[in-house]
Amino acid sequence: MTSSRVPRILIVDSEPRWSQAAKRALREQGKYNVESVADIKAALDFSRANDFDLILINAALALGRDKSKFEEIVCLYPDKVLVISDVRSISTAIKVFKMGADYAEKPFEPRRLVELVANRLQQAYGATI
Amino acid sequence: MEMFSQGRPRLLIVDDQKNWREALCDMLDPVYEIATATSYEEAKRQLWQRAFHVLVADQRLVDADVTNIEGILLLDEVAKLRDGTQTIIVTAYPTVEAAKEALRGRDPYAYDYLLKRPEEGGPFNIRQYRARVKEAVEKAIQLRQKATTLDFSVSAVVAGLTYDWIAEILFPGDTITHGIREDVRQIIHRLLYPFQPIAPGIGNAWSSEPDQFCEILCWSRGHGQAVLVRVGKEQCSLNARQVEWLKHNWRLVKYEELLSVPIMGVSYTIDGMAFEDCASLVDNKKHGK
Repeated sequence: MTSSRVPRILIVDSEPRWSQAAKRALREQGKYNVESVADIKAALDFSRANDFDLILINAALALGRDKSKFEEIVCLYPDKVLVISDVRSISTAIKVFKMGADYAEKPFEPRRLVELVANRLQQAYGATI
Repeated sequence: MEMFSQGRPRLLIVDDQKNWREALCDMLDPVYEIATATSYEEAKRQLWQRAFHVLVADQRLVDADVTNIEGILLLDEVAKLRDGTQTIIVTAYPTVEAAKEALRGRDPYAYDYLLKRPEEGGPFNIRQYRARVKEAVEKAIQLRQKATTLDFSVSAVVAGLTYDWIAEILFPGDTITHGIREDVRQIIHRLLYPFQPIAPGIGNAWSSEPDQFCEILCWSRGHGQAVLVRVGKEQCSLNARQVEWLKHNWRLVKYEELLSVPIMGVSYTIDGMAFEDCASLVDNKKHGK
């Protein structure tokens, strides 16, 4: 990704209120292009058709019955998938790390989410974003 | 020849607490050959001395130090080995950060991170532990079978070094004792573990005599990689500059590269024959010429 491009973020969560709040908080920053989908199958279709810089996936969806599709997403986007867990769970984190993705607890406040995303993108691309 | 034998899968179990160290051994089927270590240093030493299929390491190796994650630091050593050894971290003090350190970006040598006290409660999950060890051993065997694709750029090899020269490289500044010479011998053993001998009967001329050269000719067939530690009691015409060259080229060389290494073709002769013709050397050896 070049510094001139607007980072693209995909939010995958079946909880519409959280998805909407997250999308709004990130869009308010005015520097991200944010999409959201409610299930892993749609996420896989979306990630095949687009080029995302960060994909935030709800842990319950990632490790649920569509786990193999989640694994495909991780293969498509190594180091760009962040699994967000509703509750702090070391077992979930271990599963996620073993599958090659990263793990974080779901931030309650939109401000924390914005920080989390900014940190992730900065880690991935340096200080240009 | 011992170094190439498959034998029983070998495990190294590391825990500073005696009861856990013994339990982690006792819970496993008796099909494994198990070595144990109580500290980071001891485990590190053993890892470099012998090839293990699986390392099972407790995360905190100094119980009194709550920040200690030396078990995880052992993964850095396993990473350097690059021989397919698999690692399972066990811990009673799991954190997301430690699990991440133990698992993320550590393919293909980090296998699992197991909790001594499961999150959902109850005792250590013995069935899961046994299964993970078994799977990890299988993965190690699989990786070793295609070992050369793992890029064995570990400091392998050399022609014409005595044990003492090798010891100088590996243990710079140390006084070279019999113990160090023995370590060097073990290390060479371990480096050569994934390779096949070029021909039967070659590769077993071991000695820890200070000026005795060892003789090993191994070749990972079909992958263009050779391991060659050729040496012998007989005179060889290495001058100081050539010795320096060898010290700086202590590494795995490709077979083709091997043939073009000047020291072998030009200065080094065995039984009156230039070294560059490796294959005919082996043939001659076989026929006792």
